[in-house]
Amino acid sequence: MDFNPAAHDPMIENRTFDEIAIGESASSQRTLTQEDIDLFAVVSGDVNPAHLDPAYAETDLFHKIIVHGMWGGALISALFGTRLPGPGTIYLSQELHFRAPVGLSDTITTTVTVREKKPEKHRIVFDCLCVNQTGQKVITGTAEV
Amino acid sequence: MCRPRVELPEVRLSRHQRFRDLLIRTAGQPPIPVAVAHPCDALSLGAVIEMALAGLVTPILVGPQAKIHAVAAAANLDIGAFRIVDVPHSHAAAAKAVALVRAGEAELLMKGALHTNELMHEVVARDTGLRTERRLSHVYLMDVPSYPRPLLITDAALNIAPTLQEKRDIIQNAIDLAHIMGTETPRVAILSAVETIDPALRSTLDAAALCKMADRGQITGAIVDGPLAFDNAVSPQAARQKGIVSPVAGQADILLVPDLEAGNMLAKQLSFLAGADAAGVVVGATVPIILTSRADSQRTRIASCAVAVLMVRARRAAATVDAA
Repeated sequence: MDFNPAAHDPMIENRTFDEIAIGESASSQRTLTQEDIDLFAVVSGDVNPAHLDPAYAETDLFHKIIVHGMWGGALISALFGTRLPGPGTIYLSQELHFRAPVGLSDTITTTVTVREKKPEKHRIVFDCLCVNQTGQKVITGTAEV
Repeated sequence: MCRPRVELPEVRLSRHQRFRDLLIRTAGQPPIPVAVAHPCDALSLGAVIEMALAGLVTPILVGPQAKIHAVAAAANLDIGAFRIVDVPHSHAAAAKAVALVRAGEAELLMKGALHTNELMHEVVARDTGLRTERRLSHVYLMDVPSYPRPLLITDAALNIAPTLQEKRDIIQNAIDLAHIMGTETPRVAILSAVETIDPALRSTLDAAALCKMADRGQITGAIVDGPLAFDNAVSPQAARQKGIVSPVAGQADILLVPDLEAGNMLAKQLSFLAGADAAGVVVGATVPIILTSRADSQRTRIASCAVAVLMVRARRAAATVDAA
């Protein structure tokens, strides 16, 4: 089973601090499947019925299965580690706001954009954004790498 | 820095959901009385208690009463609620359990701690047994994680080298079971080593004859095709590559194996190397017979019992329709 159909490029390449400009961004797209939710539950141990039990989820706030919030967080992390800055990136901090639920078959476009460069320690601050197929913001936040 | 993307391991999720679905379908109805022949070890007695606790059956324990109580006490099992029919030994237990079914006191038969042959000897006895006009056969219900539907494999436990006529009964028994499990028109693959007729391979000749029997209504309620090699039976890709045009190839619900040895190895390979769950039931008698084995997990024992219970309910429903 291929759990990351977006990732077919056989090579991954980083961009160095000096090469990266403020305003630069990287994006990925991913459609949520039941397998994603199940695997995330297996890895994290988070078996909250809101994510796994359709009968319970029906009675809950959103009336359907929604994915773990940190799945979206992981999509952001994947961009840092594979695209911008790319391989070798050290993740220092991350702030996230979960603004709307993500359900099965939602297609999430994740974008990280360079907001600020800190040359003294070679650190970069990113704006992070996940939107769904209707353009609704589901996650916003900032990260430092 | 530019590096090759590291190849990730393949992940396969095994939910064992199909057996849970079976159990869900049995929920909320009164338990079925089951005669348990010689439940005189902790394993078989424990299995009976599991099935009773699951609400599937009301056990009647048939065996030496003192021994059953001793086993229960040693294993700390509570059998206070169950009726015990006291008989001296395993042979008598098999005979009495079958007699209870004939008398209508039990609608299911289950093997305890005795040899399968010992129980089956009583089941097939001409005047006192549970025979029908059908050949008795065993069906494995397998939940194979890599296969997108339940798989019935028959006969891997009872008929050693079935004749053509016996294979007809074995197929029809499995088809009837598939109907009860909710597969409306099961696809039956008759397995061999190749997909063409080879006079040197008897299973290919039998397959051809069985397909014609299905064409002529001697086998009903299913789509039958064979001979098919195992890969062509379960893999649409393999069937395509071979250029096999068949409604069964690549999506079989039932696998008829050529003989017991082939079936036994197939079922056990799926269990031990492919992580499959295997429940089993004997069909073709007047009532379903539950044979559980030592290696079964609780999930498969319960599944074997659940499918037997579904068969009894289906038979009751059919009898009601006939009466009306």
